[in-house]
Amino acid sequence: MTPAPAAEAARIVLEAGAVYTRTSGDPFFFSSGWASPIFIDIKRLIAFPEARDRLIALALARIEALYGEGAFDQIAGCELAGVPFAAIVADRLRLPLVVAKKQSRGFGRLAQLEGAFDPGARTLLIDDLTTDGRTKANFRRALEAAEADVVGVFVLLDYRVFGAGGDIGSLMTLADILAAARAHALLEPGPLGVIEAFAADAAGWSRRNGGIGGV
Amino acid sequence: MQSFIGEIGSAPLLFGAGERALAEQLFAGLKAMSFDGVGISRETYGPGETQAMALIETAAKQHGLETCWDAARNLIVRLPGAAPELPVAATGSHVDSVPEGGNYDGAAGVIAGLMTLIAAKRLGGRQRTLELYVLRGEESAWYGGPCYFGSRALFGQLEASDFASARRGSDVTLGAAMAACGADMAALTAGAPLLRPEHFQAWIELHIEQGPVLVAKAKPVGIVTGIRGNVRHRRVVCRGEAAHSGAVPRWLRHDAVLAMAELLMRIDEHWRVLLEWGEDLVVTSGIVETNPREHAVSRVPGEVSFALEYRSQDAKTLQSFGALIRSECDQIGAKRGVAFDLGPALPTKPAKMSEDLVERAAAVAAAKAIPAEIMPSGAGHDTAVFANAGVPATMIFVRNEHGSHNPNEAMDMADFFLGAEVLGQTLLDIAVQPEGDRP
Ligand SMILES: [Zn+2]
Repeated sequence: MTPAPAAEAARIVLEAGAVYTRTSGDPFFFSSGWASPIFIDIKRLIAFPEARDRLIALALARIEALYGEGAFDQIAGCELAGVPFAAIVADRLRLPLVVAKKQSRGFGRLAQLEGAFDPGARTLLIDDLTTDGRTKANFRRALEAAEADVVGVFVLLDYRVFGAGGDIGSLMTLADILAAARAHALLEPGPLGVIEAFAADAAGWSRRNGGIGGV
Repeated sequence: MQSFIGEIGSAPLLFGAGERALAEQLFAGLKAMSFDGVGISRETYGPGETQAMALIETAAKQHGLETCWDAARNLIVRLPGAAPELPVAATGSHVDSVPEGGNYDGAAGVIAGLMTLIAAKRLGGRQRTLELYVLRGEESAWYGGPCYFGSRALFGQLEASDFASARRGSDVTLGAAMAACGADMAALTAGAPLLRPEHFQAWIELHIEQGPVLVAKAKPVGIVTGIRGNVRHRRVVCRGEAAHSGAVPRWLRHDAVLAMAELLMRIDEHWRVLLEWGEDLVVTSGIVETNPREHAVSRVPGEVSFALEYRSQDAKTLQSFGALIRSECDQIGAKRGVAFDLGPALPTKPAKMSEDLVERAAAVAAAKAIPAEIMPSGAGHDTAVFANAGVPATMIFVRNEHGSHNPNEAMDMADFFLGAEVLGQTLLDIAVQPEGDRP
């Protein structure tokens, strides 16, 4: 039986060695301030052509399932880790690519973007992952300020444990990673238990471990 | 070095040996009377400035030129044309200097102007009157403020705050110093212009270049397209939250210094990109201070203050850049939990030079085979006051090795004579033409 796309993607990420755990001692701190016992380095996947190829194929299927066929005029990638994935997706779909930068440089309509598009261009914004969705708002604003029609925001991984990320589409979630880890024994049972406890109450876990407790 | 000058151009040279010898003699005379042991000091509305002006007046009179002093005690040297009712072709510069400054900053333009009037008298055939303005009070070193007191007085722009500004290190006011020089304070405080912009057909000022461009480009002469304006924030304050440097983790900090550093690096990145797009811009943060009463090695800084100055030839660029800085302050403030207080923005308007005059000067340089660089002026000058008052204007820069405002200014006399050629010939060409609208 073909595994569900999310489960297959999660297994690819685990097998690529992109999942790091710290279940004793100091946790990870994400730049947003959350404390976490797990850190998933999706951008590591760009180093593995076979795994990368399969991940993109799964993402393309998921994107079509979420938004329908021919729903976009262009693909936008978030600086920095979103860019390689967005570039491959744009290439597969034969669509224009635009890069959304963290900060604008100079002034003018495209000061926070690289590329060229007409106002009204239907845009899919792609990033590698999201924690609480806050940083995506910055990229979305940049595109909308340049009069792009941002139809969707899509990430390969949505932690989906830090509260509402808005309507962000994703290929997989932390839950998929943990399910795949348990099914294929890809993480030690002890740490896995800690991470499952974290996933059940990420805000509380973060606060107890020195991180922020909400946004 | 000077012998080759007569050979390089196909067009004849304006200045003869007499004018050149006079120039050398005047530079030497100015230096002798203003040397302070280190450099040259000619104080704004001070005795040294007046003495230098008197030296110029004496030389002008000896060569049969008319002189007069205006209400602001600027010296005006005049060579009437056959049609004195026409707008005049004018030049000039200042003779004050910063303390321990150089001998050429300002004086070069005055002496080149005097050479021009003397040569014009010798050659004859002019319709328009030629005028040389020996201006006072250009340097901000003595009384601070926006300075350009002499040229601003011409156009009735001096304000009460100018007269009240105190001399560095003393409580003498500019108003008192002006009065002591014999200025008509009643006329000046009334604020009536001494001249209308329509008095001038053209204004061209020769000045040493105060930047490194001409040396880098290996050209003796520059022709100025615009004078940068600037916006100054004398004291921006960034306020965060002081904390123990060991106990407080990164994401709980509101570090004022890191926020300032991020702001400055972002500004630097915007600057880099704007230059790529062809905007004219320079940005400087020349003062940075944490508060010594509370700063410490082991304390996360809760407050930092810094100066911010940016200059451009384009008023729109200054405006857009200001908006960009404010938006970056907001973004970084929100991200890092700090607040930036920019304080007042003190603007000086940029001045655009007359394209027609730039073209005329460039054509003169080409005809005389004088290598000339078309360039902006980074530093401010009296010419900006003329241009912003509506007088068609430009400047001629002379290569100068070590910057200005220091005793090591190194202007080669051969370069000076080439610059003077461009100045003098361009003005003379305008003076002989009775026709034509103001450029
Ligand atoms: Zn000067």
